[in-house]
Amino acid sequence: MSHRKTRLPGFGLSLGITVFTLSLLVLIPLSALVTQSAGLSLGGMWHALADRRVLAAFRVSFSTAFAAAFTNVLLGLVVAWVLVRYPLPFKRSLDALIDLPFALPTAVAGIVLTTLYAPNGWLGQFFTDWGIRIAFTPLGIVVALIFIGLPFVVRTVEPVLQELDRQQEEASTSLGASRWQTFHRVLLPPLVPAILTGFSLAFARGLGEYGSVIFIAGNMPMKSEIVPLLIVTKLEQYDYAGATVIALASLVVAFIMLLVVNGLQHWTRKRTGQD
Amino acid sequence: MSIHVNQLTKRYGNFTALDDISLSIDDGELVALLGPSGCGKTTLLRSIAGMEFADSGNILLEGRDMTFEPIRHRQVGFVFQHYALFNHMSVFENVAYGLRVRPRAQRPTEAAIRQRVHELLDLVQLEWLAKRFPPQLSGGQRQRIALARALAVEPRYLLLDEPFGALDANVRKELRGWLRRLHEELHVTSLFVTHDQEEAMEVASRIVVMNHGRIEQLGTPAEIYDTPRTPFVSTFIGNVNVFRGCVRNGAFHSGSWRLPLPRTLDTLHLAEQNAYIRPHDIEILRGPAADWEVRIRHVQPMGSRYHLEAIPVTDASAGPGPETESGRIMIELTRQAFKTLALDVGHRVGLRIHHVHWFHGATTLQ
Ligand SMILES: Nc1ncnc2c1ncn2[C@@H]1O[C@H](COP(=O)(O)OP(=O)(O)OP(=O)(O)O)[C@@H](O)[C@H]1O
Ligand SMILES: [Mg+2]
Repeated sequence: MSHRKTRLPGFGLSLGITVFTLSLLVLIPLSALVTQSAGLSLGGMWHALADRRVLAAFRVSFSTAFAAAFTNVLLGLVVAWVLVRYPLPFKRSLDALIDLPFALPTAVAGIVLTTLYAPNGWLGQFFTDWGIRIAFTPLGIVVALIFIGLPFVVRTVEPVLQELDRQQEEASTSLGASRWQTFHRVLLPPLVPAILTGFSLAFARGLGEYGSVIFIAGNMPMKSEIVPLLIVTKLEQYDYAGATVIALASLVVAFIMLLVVNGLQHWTRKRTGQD
Repeated sequence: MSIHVNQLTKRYGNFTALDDISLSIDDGELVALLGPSGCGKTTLLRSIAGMEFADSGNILLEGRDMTFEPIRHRQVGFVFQHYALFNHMSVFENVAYGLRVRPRAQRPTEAAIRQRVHELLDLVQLEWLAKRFPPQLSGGQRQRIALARALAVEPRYLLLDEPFGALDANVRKELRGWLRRLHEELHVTSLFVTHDQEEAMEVASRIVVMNHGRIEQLGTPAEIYDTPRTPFVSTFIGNVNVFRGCVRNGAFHSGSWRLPLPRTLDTLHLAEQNAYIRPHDIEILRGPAADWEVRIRHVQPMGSRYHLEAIPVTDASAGPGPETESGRIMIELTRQAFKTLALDVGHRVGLRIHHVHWFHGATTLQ
């Protein structure tokens, strides 16, 4: 971008609106969080965070959100591919179905998934036969987060996939490439930025998800207790400072991770001449 | 490396895109596929490449039946109308692609790939763009990169779908000459689609004229122009005046106009028989020896030639004048003749017809 005067109309106004909304809805609440925790000394903060139970909750939250986002990338790619490329019956209904997790109250999702995946539940019983427990373990959390996060990947990848020029694939095969080569050399690279966006959206949502997880997780401290639940627990115990510190730490880590994903995205774009 | 297409038919639902197409292209030929939009040119090209499968008929490459062989076994280089370059790869990587995807055993070394790509970029005269990405190139440059990419795998056949379709007239002209020289150098059997007759005439050794999924005529540019086999070919290639009328008593009649014909043509006393007369087969006279009389309505200088439009002049008593499709008669003169005759809009002049084409044989008069 050059710094010369831009000819885009309404730049000043739209920038103003953006800054105003961002401040009102994001920056001010977040800085309130920071000032809240400023009541605590640095040592106090450290003490609040270094607690074994807190650390375990962080581990559970980040690893399940990561695993779910990763699974969603694979699943979402396949689903988007099928939706875009194959002439399916009831395609519209199927398409609408994808968005359902957005609309469903998360508690409902949590209760339904718990019932299904409980050890004696409809689906859970088969896994029990294999000696796998889903509900009331971190695996259950991952299942809930996959359900919640799938639309993010599908909806970000789908439009890019739609825009892809099919003749590029034909060009690739006419040059002697196999299906696999065409997939990973021609098809996949233009999708990478969208995949990364889908991943970070699903991941961020997974970190913040509360409603569906608390039902299926079992919420055993050190094992399947997630950070948002820990914060609520602290609040219920009137430990406002402790709750804020955990929230702040969670925020900082998430922000850094999203920053890394964004950087990665920027780098792939740059490398492939899309910028 | 010949191409044979045998009675190929392709339908989309009820619509017949290719209707019993048969054609042969010899080793090393450069053939143009010419026809109006929607006549099935792309479909035919894609069928030969194996991107589309016909309903019946077969395709032989070098005598081998390849009708059901997948694209990657046909050794066909394909250049797409809209280039289809890989936008996320540099120009260099685009050209190298066909070499990089070869099975490990046949894959050239990195140094060999590098050399081959630079040779090809040199051939298309775009060496200096190797590091750019396709979106950063002009249309003409993209087209040439697409060609270099197709040539990298040393295809036995080169199929080009409107290679210069999206380019402006000057660039087209330049690339046209360049394509012909390239073909002289490489001698790959090539078939290229165009809907620009001038382009087909200038580049190809033979032309296939298609219409409504059928081949109308296949021949050298001169054959196609001089002895069109169907009215469609005659009107599609070059300009032509179509006079509605009939042949009777040794003369062609159109409205009240009469054109005496040589005796040898008396077999032609058929009912409806239109006369096809090229604009340059009409001479303008300023004297009595004319066949017909007209008034000049429009003069268009086209560089070395002049295009004139005239309307028939008839006596009120004689009845209506000749019927042409546009109501006007197109005449083409050299600049020299135009100046000598000192013509201008509004002048009343005589016409003499030198050559008429019928679809039961042509007649040269005088
Ligand atoms: N997938 C398809 N489904 C239905 N009809 C099709 C399909 N592809 C092509 N057609 C029809 O087949 C006919 C021939 O198409 P084709 O693309 O071969 O035309 P073309 O001669 O290449 O035209 P143009 O010069 O405009 O590129 C067209 O009438 C088109 O509508
Ligand atoms: Mg076409």
